[in-house]
Amino acid sequence: MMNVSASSAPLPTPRWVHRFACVLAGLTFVLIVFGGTVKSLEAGLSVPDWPLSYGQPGAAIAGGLLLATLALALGWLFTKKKLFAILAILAGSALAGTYYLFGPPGWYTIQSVRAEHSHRLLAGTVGFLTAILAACVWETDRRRGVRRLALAALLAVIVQAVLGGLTVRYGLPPWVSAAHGALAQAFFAMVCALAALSSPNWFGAEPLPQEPAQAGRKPLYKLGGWMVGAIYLQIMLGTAVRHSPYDPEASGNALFWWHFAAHAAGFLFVAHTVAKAVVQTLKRHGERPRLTRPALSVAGLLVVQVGLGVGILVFRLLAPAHYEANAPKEIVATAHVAVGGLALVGALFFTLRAWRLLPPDAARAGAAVPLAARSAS
Amino acid sequence: MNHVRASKWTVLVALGMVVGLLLSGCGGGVMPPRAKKISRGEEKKTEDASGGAGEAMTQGSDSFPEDKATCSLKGLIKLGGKTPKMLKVDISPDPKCAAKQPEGGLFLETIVVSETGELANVIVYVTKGVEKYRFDPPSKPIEVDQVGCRYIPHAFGMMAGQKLLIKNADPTLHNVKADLDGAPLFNIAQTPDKEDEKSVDDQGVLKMVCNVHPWMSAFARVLPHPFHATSDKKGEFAFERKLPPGAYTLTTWHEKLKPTTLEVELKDGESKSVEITLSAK
Repeated sequence: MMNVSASSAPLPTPRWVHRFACVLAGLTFVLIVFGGTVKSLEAGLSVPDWPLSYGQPGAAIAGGLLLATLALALGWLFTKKKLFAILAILAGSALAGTYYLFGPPGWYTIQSVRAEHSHRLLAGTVGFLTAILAACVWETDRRRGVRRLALAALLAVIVQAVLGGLTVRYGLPPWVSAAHGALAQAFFAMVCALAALSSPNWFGAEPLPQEPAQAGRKPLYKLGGWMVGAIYLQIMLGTAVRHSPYDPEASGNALFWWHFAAHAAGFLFVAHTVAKAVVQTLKRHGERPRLTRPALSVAGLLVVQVGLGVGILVFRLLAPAHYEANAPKEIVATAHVAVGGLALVGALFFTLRAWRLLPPDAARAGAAVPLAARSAS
Repeated sequence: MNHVRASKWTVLVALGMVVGLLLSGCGGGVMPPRAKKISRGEEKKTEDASGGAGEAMTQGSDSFPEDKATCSLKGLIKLGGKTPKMLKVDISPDPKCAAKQPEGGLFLETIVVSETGELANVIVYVTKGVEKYRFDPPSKPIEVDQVGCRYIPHAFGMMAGQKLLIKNADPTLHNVKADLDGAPLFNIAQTPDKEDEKSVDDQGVLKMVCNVHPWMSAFARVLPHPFHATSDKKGEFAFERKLPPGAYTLTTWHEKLKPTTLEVELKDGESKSVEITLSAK
């Protein structure tokens, strides 16, 4: 695990950076819901060109403005002149406005085009804000691991944009679309981790007394790590199922059913890791809601997720064809994607919190330094 | 401070990567991988979308004897078995389509059959009898319009190398995504009143869909010769061009129904009418 403890006595990240990361995490969640809706409506190709939209230059103008914004942000970074910051914000606002003004004609009146174009607009906004957040974290946070995480998030959002473009330009190749869906959740987790690691609670938390060593007993953060890994693997399998070709009127659909079998088996693995983490947390720290709450939340989300998964399967098997508007089917499928993302973030929060409150021995000495002392140093 | 300087350069490199990646995502139009172009005399196995047996379509090098082409061919297509129910489409997701909805609603054109069993949208074409001749594609393009959020025509035959003129008469946005035997051909954006001309150089089954309006689809059987016709709502079809006397094999193509073949013998000057019955599953 990266070095995010206070072993090198980092200064707390400014509160506004934490709030900024929280806002970005919220927007990213909405973006995931939008992306899930695009897939549920099979609207991915309803805007067939990229980066333009029906030949409209919105995205191209936005590209120019994005470069201008980045250049101005760099100017501010190197010179610290407020003028650059103001101009960067103005260029960024114009960027957002451009996206909205130069869309395809009447895009908001057609369901599928509205879904796809809104997804692109919000994705542009999230990408832009991620660049700003990465710069802010880089400038204000002294922890190497956190700064790298911010850059990784920036890189992830760029790769995500390119994958999104490739899905459109190459007619939704299933593996590119699946990678786009899986990377979205990883990016969401990264932004949420940035929010958690810049939180005042993170700096204010003081480690609990060390747990007595017992043979074969794993630390909670390791159990959390297994949970995060299992859930993410399950998300990847889920995106493979979601993007596998499936024709309700054709026989076979072998690829879909293979992916589905792997996804169903993956659930057992996830359930095992979640159950283990929950039981051990309740057993060892049942009186500490800061640990039990995230663990139980993940378990609750898992139950909801199973229900939604069964719902999707029922709708898939019953639905005669995709062209028939079927709001419940679309809502259930999108909710399954959203709840999967929340479960991943819940498991990540649990892991980070367990690591912060019950750190490994090597990090314990530094983590024990209280906030006030670190701030003063 | 070295540390700060290093961090700035790292930011600079990261931003450089941003720009590089963004630029790499831009560029010209996408041409997805396509099947190899079929040259004259070469055979190509074509799998019918309906799951029918593959067939070899060849083109020879002899000139077509126009002066001997005195036989005309027409016919009637009927659907045997139980008539399937035509599915009604919910076009409410696009109000502009909904405003142009025909009285009684819009129905899927997968199987368009009259009460008395006459079947529309069946492409009938010659599979044997003209393979020794060479044909140049007509200079006139085939027109496909989008009217009331449906393609007109829904099914048609065309020659490999013939142009396809795609129009949008609707006051709404369409995209036209075309595959030839499952291989991506093009995907274009069409704003109202826009026209695009596309070339279809290879034989096969051309399928066009609109992802904005998922019920919209159109099919074309792309052939090496001009001897094809498509049944109308009365189930009637007629070849536009005349054939020389001889023996021919006719084959049907329908998006849902299995193909069937029919042997016909044409005598000099004869005008023949045939009846073909396709069976519903």
